[in-house]
Amino acid sequence: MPVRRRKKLKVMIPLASMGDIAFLLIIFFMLVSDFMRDHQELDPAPGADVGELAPAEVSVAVDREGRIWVQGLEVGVHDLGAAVEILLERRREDGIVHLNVDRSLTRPEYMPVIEALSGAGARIALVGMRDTE
Amino acid sequence: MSRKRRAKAEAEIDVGAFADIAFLLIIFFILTTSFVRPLGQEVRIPQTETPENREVDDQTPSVNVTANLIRFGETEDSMADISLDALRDRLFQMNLMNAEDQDRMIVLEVADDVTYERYFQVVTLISDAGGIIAIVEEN
Repeated sequence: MPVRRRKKLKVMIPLASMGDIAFLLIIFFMLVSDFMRDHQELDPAPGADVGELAPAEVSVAVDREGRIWVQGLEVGVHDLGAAVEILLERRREDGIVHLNVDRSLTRPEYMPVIEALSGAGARIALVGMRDTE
Repeated sequence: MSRKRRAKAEAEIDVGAFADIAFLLIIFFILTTSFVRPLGQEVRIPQTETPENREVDDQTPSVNVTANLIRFGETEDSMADISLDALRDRLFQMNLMNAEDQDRMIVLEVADDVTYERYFQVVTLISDAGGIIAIVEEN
């Protein structure tokens, strides 16, 4: 008796909508990511009077060598004010600048940075960590 | 004469690889994203050009920080050594939060050998109490 072969069913999973979801997730993560900003080598200062900060418009860091980084790019202290001013103007907001400085630096290294930011009209938020002692 | 119809070619774009790339990108962004908000304190340091920062009189409360000591006085004549905790109490007693801007000024003088760690502790304390910091530049 001849056996009749069943016709093979072709199963297809629609992947287009999965790709859409994936790209929506990518856009989300791209918007919330802030990598490239705080990769400098520094020990943040501990303090008792710290709280959660609002998100930064501009991020400035001074590493343990005293080098100044704006948004992950090294700048000189004389160019800092202008660089921050330009970045804040571009964002057209009352910008908060997060300043993260290595705890071991002394006044001649950190004060010119604070003065430059103050001169650029930035709202300065000092970044640190909670003192656990 | 009968015309033979050509079978319609079904065009399909393979989006399988497309989704693979997308998910690789998602994994990358998940690994690099940090949702933790940084800790710190917003400080009010008036711009160098503003009039409120040009002159401070002897009646403005001052904090003097050196590597080993903190001195505080509500006037120039009443400067005395103080601990960080005691300074916090004194500043909160002054109720700076509810004062006018010109009465919230705290003159901050910092010696060259003061580390950022010490400066950070004093400045965040003053800001937490509602003070506006006036940086002193010696003439």
